[in-house]
Amino acid sequence: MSRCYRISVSESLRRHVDVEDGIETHLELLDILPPEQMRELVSDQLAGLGYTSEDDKTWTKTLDNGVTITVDLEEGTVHIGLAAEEDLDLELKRSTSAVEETRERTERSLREKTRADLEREADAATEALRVEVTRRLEESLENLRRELDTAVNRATGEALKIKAGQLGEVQEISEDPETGAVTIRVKV
Amino acid sequence: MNVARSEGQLLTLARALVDGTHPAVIAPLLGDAQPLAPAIGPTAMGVLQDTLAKGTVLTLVRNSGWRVQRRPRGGELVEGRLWERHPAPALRFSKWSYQVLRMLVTNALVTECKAPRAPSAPGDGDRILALLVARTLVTLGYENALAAVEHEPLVQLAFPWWVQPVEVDWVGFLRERTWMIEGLHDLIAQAWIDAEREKLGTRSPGRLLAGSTRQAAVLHGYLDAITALGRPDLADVLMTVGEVLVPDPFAPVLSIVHRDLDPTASLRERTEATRASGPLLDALLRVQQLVAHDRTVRFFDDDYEATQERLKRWEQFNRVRSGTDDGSDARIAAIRRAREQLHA
Repeated sequence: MSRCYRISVSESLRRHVDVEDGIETHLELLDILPPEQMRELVSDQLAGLGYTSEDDKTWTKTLDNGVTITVDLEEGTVHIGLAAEEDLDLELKRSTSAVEETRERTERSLREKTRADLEREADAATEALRVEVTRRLEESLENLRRELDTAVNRATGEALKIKAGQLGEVQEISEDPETGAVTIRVKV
Repeated sequence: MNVARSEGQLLTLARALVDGTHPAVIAPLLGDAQPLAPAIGPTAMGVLQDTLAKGTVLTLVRNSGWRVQRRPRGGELVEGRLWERHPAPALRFSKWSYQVLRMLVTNALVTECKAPRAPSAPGDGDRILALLVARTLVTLGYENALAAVEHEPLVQLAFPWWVQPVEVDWVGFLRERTWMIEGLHDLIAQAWIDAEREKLGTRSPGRLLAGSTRQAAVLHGYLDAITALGRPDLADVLMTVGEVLVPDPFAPVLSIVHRDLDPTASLRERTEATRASGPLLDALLRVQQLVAHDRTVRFFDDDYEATQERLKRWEQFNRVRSGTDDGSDARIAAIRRAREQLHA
């Protein structure tokens, strides 16, 4: 008669995971002035909003929640992204019973199953982190859209004033701070 | 006339496919594997051939062939119904048509499906039957079985949202078959309308992106081909789809802007899928460019009459009166707004 054995296995998994999410969009600039001048005006606005640049072409800002905004004025693109990392340290114990004849095979099978379960847990933890990153990113999007629209609108307003000055004598400028509308009276 | 019971099922199915019966009505005939003798008798074969020959002609007539239209043919505009504009085509059916019908009867379509080998030289009858089979399979949700008909360019043209892509020489296919597109106009348009509606209910960004990419490739190939063949009038099938999807251009164009993707998917995937989801809108904007070219054709130019006919159809597509607005370019403006929303 075969003896019955209790088999216990313990597996652990350590993994460093990096997740990131982001979108790329375009910055719509009207060509009221030559492109270099338009870029300069937008740069001024971005600087006022806390963006920094080392080459006056790419402007970046990182929000408190880690979201990074990169504005490439030459390409006219905006990248909004967030990355996160985490060290996973997972451990799983499993036990089962087996008879003498199947002891080795049962242990091997249990160990494989435990490892597969650990992999699944690690994947689930990675996915949960990615979902959290996406959620934080989405929370920031609406404000960022407004912020960038404001920067572009103000730069456009400034460009219109300069253009109006080139066309003739500017007699009156009125701005509606709520809508951002600019009215310029020019004597040509 | 006597036929065996199992032959009767095959014939009923063939008849239902070609006579416009709604696929739901023939659902009980499909799905489960039914027994069928390895070969059918000469009586049943005769009835099958007759049913397919008459049924495919009926399909062409019902799906737009009956309309009196003015279409280009051999350098001039010809007015009349499909059979008055074109000589009668030879609707040949190969062994494949019989095999695909057998497949529908004898396979459990839900689980697995042994598709017959695609014909090396399909007849035009085979092609139309493949389209009708695809419509039934799509409507009944037997997507597994679509592999049996996906080789057919007509199926690719009508159902790119559902079928796996195959390489199609669109110019080669359409050169001698513009009559087929004219006659199947309503069926192809309805397939696209159904696809766009199904698309709106898609939650998976991966599925939305893959399906939309297939649609974009087909539309690109089709528009290139009809332009190369000097038949931009065949883009009217896309206008018909646009008219249904944007019934009121003055209302917000929510009906064609996807906004219900799985919120747990990454923002990148969702954005990419959403931006790719408007190939039909892109195609209609491309049709607008073709029309812009038509406007430059002068009255003494050779194709003046044909371009005027196309402009008439474009204006019919666009002119939607509302209150004091004369509606000029209303629909295409709405489509452009929808596209901008997708890319915002």
